[in-house]
Amino acid sequence: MNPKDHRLAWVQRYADGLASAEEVAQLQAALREDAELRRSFLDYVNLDSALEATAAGRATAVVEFGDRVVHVSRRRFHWPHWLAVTAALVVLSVGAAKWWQRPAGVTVEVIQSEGARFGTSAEPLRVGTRLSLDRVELRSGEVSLRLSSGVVLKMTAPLEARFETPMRLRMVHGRLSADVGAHGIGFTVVTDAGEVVDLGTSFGVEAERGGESRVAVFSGLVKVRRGTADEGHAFTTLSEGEAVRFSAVAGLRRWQHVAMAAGAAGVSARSGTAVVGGVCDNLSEDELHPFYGVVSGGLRPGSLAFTDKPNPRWAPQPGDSIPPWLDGADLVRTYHQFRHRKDYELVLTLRAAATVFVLVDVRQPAPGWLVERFYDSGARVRVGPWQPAMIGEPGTEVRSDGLPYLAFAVWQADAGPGEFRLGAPRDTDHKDPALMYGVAVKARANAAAVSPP
Amino acid sequence: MTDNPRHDQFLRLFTANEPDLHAFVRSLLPTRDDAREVMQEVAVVLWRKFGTYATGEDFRKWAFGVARYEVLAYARDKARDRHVFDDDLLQTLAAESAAGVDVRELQREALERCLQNLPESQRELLLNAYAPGTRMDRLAHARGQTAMALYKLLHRLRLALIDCTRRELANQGRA
Repeated sequence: MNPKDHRLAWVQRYADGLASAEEVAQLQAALREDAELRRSFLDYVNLDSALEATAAGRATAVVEFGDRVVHVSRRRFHWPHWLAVTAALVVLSVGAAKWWQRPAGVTVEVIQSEGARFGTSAEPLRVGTRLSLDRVELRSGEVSLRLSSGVVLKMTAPLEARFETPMRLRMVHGRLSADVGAHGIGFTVVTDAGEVVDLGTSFGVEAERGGESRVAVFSGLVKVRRGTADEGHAFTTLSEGEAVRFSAVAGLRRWQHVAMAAGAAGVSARSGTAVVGGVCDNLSEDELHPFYGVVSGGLRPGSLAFTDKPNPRWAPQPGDSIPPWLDGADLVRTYHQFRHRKDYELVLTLRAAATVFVLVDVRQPAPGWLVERFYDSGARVRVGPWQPAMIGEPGTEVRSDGLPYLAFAVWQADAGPGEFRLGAPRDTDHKDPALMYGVAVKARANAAAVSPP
Repeated sequence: MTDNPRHDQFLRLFTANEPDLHAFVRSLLPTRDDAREVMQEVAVVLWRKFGTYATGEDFRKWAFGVARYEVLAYARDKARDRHVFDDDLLQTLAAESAAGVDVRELQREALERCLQNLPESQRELLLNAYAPGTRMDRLAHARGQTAMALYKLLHRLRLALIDCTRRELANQGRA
């Protein structure tokens, strides 16, 4: 391998996820022609894989096999591969083993409490309190509990649940979100509708007693199954940005509009009732499970822009602030992957007369429906960071973190109560890739108070 | 251990071959996150289809076939993403990766010795860069470097390690 071979720089950028589409095309052409380069490429990514494993210790791998979730720990690089693995197997069965159903007093720590009261207690829970819980009956408020495994559960009253084990919660009814971290993978929430297994890292569950449950994945992966293993239903995998409704009888259906807590959207809580009553799109119910997170008052610096991307966040332009007529608008977190859909339509259901803001990449031509029905306010906001591969593209600005950011234009239109439709990010005859737009909505009484210049 | 011999057999075979499978999948996909996502699917599919696997059959060959299919399916789903190699190249890389799996297993074993040969600061840098959750911009900032400079340094270290592992195998007559 010749370190001076300039093509190895393409290999490095590809392995680090930095390569632009043009660099990947160059690398692809070179790999097709040169068998020695292919050998170097395979050695390079093999090394990359091995370093990743070494750094992670590969202490555990989590794999689900049928009705069992298995944590496998093993040592690496110290024995020939054909010998039996030195492994410590911890089988977390989701079946009905007797020890699994033994009631467990699970130790939890209260890490956040807003008027939270358990059972018949008149006193609200205090932050820092340690409890040993078997049953959970949250009568009022909200509480965040950290388990010894590191799993954090945020519960909203009214909620009734029971810990079957430290890693398995049976929820009779209520609403909670779970952030399982690195050591809580496999944490399971069971409802009357079925069960949800977290494969990392955070999701939300709503359960109705004896009825439907709903699950939304904020980050990572979960497995969802309606009914029980005995009934022979298979798990469905949901990834970040996807949400389903399910029941023992009706099966899995798409859950399109998820009212999200501000924290899940990356902002601190602010009271308010969203003027957006519903969000849906024209994609098939069977095809995808993505949801639109709606955050009341959520358009603020640092708020996550998209449901399916963990990084880009809205912010003012450097030296500027978010215009007061836009700041605190209800935020609809769109789905960035839909930017390719030419026939895409997003439908907002508005509870009251409002101003709808569409935030669009300034580098791309505005689609016809936007030009016809909206006007460019002249205001600009910043969104990022984006993937390093975008560095060097026209219009990107590299900030002090070394990552690229983009300017988005704020287009606006007035809308009455009722349905309001938005189209695809680009016109059908436009070939260049487009980024997905952002959406924010403000009730008209507030929006009219301070008009844009 | 589990109470099911068939489960145990699968777990032994899967965990013994998982490093090779992961390296194989990683070689065909643009990012580590893509590889992790596909590996989850591969694990599930292998388990579901384990009933069709005959004891004594070459598990690795069978598993590589499943992994190859899952990678190609994943790549086709992302067909609009111009960072994914086209089908023809993926097929070629898949075939050559599978053919060289034994050598790469030995390279991974040699890696441990080669890592020990690096100065401690360089070894720590590599392992920090690859640690789960590391953000390269923050690591670079902590080191007083730009992210690009850090990537270039890591690249030089990787090339040095590849060189070392190839020499190790050559010395053992196994290259």
